[in-house]
Amino acid sequence: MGATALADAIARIESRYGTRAVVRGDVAERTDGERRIEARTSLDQVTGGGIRAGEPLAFIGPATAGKLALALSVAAAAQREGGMAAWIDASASLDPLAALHAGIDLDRLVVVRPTSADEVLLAGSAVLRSEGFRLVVVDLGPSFASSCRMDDLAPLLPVVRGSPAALLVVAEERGRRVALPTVRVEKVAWQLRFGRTVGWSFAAGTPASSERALFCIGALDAAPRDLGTRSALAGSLEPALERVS
Amino acid sequence: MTRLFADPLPAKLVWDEGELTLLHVGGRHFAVVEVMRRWRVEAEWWKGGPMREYLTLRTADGMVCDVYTDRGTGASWLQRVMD
Amino acid sequence: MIAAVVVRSASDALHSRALATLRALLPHVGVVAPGVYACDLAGTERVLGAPSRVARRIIERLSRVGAPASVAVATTAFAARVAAERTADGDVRLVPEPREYLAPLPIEVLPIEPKLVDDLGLLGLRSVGDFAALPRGAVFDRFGRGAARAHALARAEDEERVRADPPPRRIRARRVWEDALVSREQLVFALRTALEEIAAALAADGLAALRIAVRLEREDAEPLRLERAILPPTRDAAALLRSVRWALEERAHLGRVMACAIDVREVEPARGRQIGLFAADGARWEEAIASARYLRERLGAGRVLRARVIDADARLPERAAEWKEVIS
Repeated sequence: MGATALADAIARIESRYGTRAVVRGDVAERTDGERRIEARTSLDQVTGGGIRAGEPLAFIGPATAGKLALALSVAAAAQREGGMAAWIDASASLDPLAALHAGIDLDRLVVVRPTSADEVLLAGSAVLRSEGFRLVVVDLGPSFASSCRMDDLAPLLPVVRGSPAALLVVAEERGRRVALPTVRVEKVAWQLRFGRTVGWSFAAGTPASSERALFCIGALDAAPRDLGTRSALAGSLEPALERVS
Repeated sequence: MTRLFADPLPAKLVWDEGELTLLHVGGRHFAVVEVMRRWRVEAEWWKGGPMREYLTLRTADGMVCDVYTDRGTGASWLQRVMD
Repeated sequence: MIAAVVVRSASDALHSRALATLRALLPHVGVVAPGVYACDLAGTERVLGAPSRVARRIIERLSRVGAPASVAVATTAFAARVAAERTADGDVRLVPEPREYLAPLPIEVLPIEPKLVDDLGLLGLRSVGDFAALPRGAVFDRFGRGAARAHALARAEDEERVRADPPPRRIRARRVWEDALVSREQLVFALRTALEEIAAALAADGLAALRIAVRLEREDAEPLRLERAILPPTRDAAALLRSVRWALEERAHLGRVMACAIDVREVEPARGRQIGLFAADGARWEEAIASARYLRERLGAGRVLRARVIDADARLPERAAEWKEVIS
């Protein structure tokens, strides 16, 4: 087989399965465990053991749900073993203090503030193609403040397949044309104290499974507390779980 | 956890007989169902720093956010959204 | 014989061009200062002809690359340089008797301290010839080693050889394909091996590439030339490929590519990886910074940032943290 034919064959494989589908032996020998980001919370049970490098995942939920809190905890997990994370902040709303409280090392978080969907794609492609990041978060932000929609992200998907980083998209709504593996984040109940709302509990789960990871935000600025999974807590949290679809 | 907008979004608060009923922001309207917190910040008052009235609101569709009104200009801004 | 070459007002680019031209012509070329070169002509006569002819050829070659020069040929490097500096652009001066040539020149042409110039002036010694006439031992005893060396220069007794750096090895890789490559992905894949070859050559020389040029020969269009600054400098094939890939992605149509040549245009000594300043994983840090730099170039200021919490209890939320450019 000539060099051109080989290049052509590999280019075809790469265009279908990503630029890292064909790699040298030493790269291929990386174990799956090394390329997985584990939040070390019950979220891992709904993501199938963590978020994998080279794969996209979306946290979808309404404006106040808990998806941002989960994304920050995943970014902190990605940095735990010394990796860098990139945060593409389409609504320029990352709160450094919240990130710090979530356990993120701000020195190892590169924040990009794009002002259009094209810039989101440019930034996303650049950081996903870099060998420098373990996680790339594209936070679309509240729909009324975002410079980008989920459907605009379609060109990123072939890029992430070949990336050493995982892609995590945080958005209010699923795309119509883009289908990403999704963790749905939904409020379970408001927490009240003396007749006033002080926090909320929420569930994270995938459409494919009835399992849900449950979290509680006890104060508006606080990090989420891991309550466990639905199956583990079925007895004690039955009334609240009735409200989870 | 919170989002903190680098540039707070212009907002409009609609009051009805002393009750906050509507929040307009980003071309959208949100019915307000609860004012969860209320506080005032007078930063560096000795040199004319900002004086703000903050409200934490819960809207009918479940958004919780901080909106402040600048006491000098009367303009309101959405600064944080809890998520 | 030594040929001194002077290219006046040489910018960095002109200096590089002139040096490359001289190195292509002569085996021993030393840089005295930017725009001033000393070329040892020993052994060149059989191949290149008499020194005067070589000097003419130097002027001709330099003129072709836009570097007007003057050349002087002498038995000592110092006399040749002084003579070249006093020769008009495009002219050649042969200095058969360097001591005689230098004798009437002011003593300031010698590399001596201004104070010594003053002291010698007080003694009535104002020309190179006056100084050269002093006994060697007396100069050494009275004025020290530096003056004794200048004294030797004045007498044209300097034995200084041209310190010629070997010309840098050209780091280049070429590929020719039987069938034209028609897609960007094909091309990127095919360039991998060429860049791995470049990376291996850089590693062998302990260098990192700072700038590379890619020339694509196309069946259906003029050759396409791309030049990329590599920041941070690297000899890592993946980083080089990424840079080239970005350059290719900026082109809407690449055409049918038949061949490519990749040249390393600028290098610097490889410094190894930076560890720990930004991240525990230094290797990833370099890559991440390269991406941040690229995005900073594409998106402009205030868009690629990192944050630092400066007052967690700030009353105004926006004052809790400050934002800084990742690449300032």
